[in-house]
Amino acid sequence: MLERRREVREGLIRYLARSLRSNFKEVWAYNLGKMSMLIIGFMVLVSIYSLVSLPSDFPQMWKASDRPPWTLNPKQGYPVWVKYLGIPVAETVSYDNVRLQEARIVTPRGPGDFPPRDLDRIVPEYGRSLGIKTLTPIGYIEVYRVSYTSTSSVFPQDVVVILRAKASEGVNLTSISVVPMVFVTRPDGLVLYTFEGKYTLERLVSGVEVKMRCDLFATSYIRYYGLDATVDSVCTLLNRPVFGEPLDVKASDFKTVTGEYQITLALWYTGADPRAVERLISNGDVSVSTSIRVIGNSYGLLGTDTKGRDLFQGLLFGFPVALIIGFSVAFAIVAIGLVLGVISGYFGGRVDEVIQRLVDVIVNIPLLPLLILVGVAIQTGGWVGWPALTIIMAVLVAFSWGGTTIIVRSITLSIKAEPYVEAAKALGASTWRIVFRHIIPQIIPYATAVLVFSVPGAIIAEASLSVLGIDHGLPTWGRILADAQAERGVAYKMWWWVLPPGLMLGLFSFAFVALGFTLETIVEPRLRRR
Amino acid sequence: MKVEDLRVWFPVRKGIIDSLLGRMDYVRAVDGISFDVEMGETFCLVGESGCGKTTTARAMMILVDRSDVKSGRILFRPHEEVIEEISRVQPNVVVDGEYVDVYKTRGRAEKLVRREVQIIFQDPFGSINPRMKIYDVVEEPLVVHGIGTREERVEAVAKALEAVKLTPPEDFMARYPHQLSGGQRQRVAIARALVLNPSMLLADEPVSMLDVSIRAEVLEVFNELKAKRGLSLIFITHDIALARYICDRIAVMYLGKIVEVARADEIVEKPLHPYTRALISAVPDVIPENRLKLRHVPIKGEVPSAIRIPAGCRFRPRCVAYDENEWVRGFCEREEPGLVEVKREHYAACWIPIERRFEGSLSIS
Repeated sequence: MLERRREVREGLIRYLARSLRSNFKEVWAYNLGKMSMLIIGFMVLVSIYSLVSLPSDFPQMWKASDRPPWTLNPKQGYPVWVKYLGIPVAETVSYDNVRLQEARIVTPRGPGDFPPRDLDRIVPEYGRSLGIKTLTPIGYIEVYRVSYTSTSSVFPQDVVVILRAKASEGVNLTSISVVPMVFVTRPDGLVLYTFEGKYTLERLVSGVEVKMRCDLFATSYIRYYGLDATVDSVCTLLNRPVFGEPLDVKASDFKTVTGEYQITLALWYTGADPRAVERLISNGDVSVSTSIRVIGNSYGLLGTDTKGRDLFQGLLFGFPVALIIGFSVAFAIVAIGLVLGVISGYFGGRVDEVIQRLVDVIVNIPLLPLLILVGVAIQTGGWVGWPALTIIMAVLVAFSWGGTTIIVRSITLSIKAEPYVEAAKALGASTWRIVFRHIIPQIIPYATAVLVFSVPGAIIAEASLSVLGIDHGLPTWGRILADAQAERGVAYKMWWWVLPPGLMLGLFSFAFVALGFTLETIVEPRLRRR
Repeated sequence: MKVEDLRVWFPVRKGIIDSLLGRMDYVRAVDGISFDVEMGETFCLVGESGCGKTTTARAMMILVDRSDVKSGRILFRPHEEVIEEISRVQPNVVVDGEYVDVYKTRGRAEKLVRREVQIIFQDPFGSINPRMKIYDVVEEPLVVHGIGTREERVEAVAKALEAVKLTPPEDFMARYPHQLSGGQRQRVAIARALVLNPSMLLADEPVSMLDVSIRAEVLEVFNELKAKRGLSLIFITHDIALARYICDRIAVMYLGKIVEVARADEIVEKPLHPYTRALISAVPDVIPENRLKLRHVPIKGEVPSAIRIPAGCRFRPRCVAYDENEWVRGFCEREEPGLVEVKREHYAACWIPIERRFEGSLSIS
């Protein structure tokens, strides 16, 4: 008995393996088939790459659009390669762990030496810059400098300084504070005081990103250029006064100042004895790592959306999700259809009647309104991410297996009447043996074709739902398209936001439909053209 | 094998109202037939299409729904060790210590019967799964009945293929059915039936779908099997000439009933039933001079529907003898003749020979 069951199973596996191998060969013989195989292979490889390269909490990251790393990217940033198309762009440049240029203790050398000459020696920008300096640094000071070249007519969007402190145990983190001061020295010699703040070490341990502030230098800037404008009007777009000069007294327009910029960061450690601070730092008990990032208006292979999210990563994440949605839904549909269809067709009677009436009901319920309802229920129920997507897929499956079941049933009925099935019965073959050995192998080619044709349907359904506003929270291609629509990406002519996911959906569907056509030609010889 | 008063009626699907009112019509495919097949005998069922030959075969193989078998029983005498095992698993099906009531068997007992009775179907193209290799086809019965180790099964398959003259068997094992000719396929089907070493073989028109040129090779296999193995064979055919060639006894069926049974020579040379006579004269003649002669086949009309079987003798509407013999018409119209031993070992279901034999001593009440 056991031996027999094992043999039936082995036989089935052998059969499936053989038919898969020969199917693959046959599909490869057709151009359309070859194309679809290549595309699907590419999709699978990209999916694997995506799963390996993206962080595991990527969906949560994507959802938190107001947090880094997205805040460190340009908003509505072009793909970097558009510069080759002649579109002027400002590149995004990151200076990670900038090397310390100079550090010393600044003290007044007697009465009247205020601000101290030492300060001017270590941070000459301090005295020369336009801006309101509310603090005069006296104590231990570190200076970092990077240079950035602006060559185009486009303004970079911002300058971000990222500070992160590390401290050994026993260091009193609350007693020491750090005051970062940021100066931008322009090619035309103008120095702007763009940031001043104060953070305790404790705060810096969890990391701080600071951006430019316009209010510090705006008043001096207006006076410098003799403008007839208010702080508010100059500061409408912060990056313009920093990287450009006004074209008229109203400061209604700016033109970029091209050339080499220098960005200076001075870190002033305060709140403790400067010597003690110096000792702590030279011992390595306290260290602050500094990164400076000039945010241009282009980023990555596929640019960014209005919140600065990297669309390439979003698209990359869409690959495995699309495959998972497509294949799991298609597999489930085919599996249910196959099992119920065979049961219905082979056993007949009351079981058949029940299954067929169920199919009647399911096939006649309009799926899309139902899915929208389910989507609303998911959102009000607070489901997000994979669980929400799973519910949507389950509903998709629950109302899609009808057609397959009907057709598998009719195939089963016709096979059941074949003399070789009767012959097997006459031999004393069990029902299971007849079903697995004589009936299912004949249905497998058809089931494969259904599987392949169902894959794009499932993905398109998911995309449609996303565009209709059902948010499961995962960055799928459909979701990205939905965001583009909701945040007027099309109105802003952000083609890099809309085209790639749209094209991917199209390519994906094409690959499976092409494969389906090829399989159909193989399964149904009457369709063969040669 | 004994068949006693077997009736197989298939229900005809009717409208909702009729089925609610319990009004049912039946196709009376087999309408009360009885016959015995001796051990080692070749018994033929002959008749035109639709007369119930195939249904009889399928009924003997338990391939019709048990609910469609309206009456009668089929008793089968298997090998002794099999009857012992059956009497262990399901003692109530054993009749007279050596027969099994086939339609009472369930589960294990049914499987044992199936192992003992094998069938060969008419269509060698349909009766073999096109996706299975010849080896898998012939091995399947062994696997189903859990016989032998893998090596033993390979041996058994090779032997069975040799027995049907598919030699060398190794050449055929790895092939697919579509790579074989019709005759070769039918021999594969025979090998599949023989591999279990059954005590009874049914052959349902095994050569009617083959070209005349390759029939001989298949018939040769049958003759050899009969001679060597001594198995009982029930051979179903519409060709009475072929039946005479291969059978010991012939039963002629018409519209679900056996109308005449006798030894092969006897029935062909001295047929008693008008239908048998019609069958015999319908055999085409290969002698050139006779070919263009318009042959007279003593029968009229078409086969009536098996749903509405004519009252009285069911052959009456087509019977030429009924027209010719006025004296017997009363019998024919009123009552169906039984299968009566008119001569020694020659049974006929026709009022004319019956009346002549018994000189009117039988009267109809």
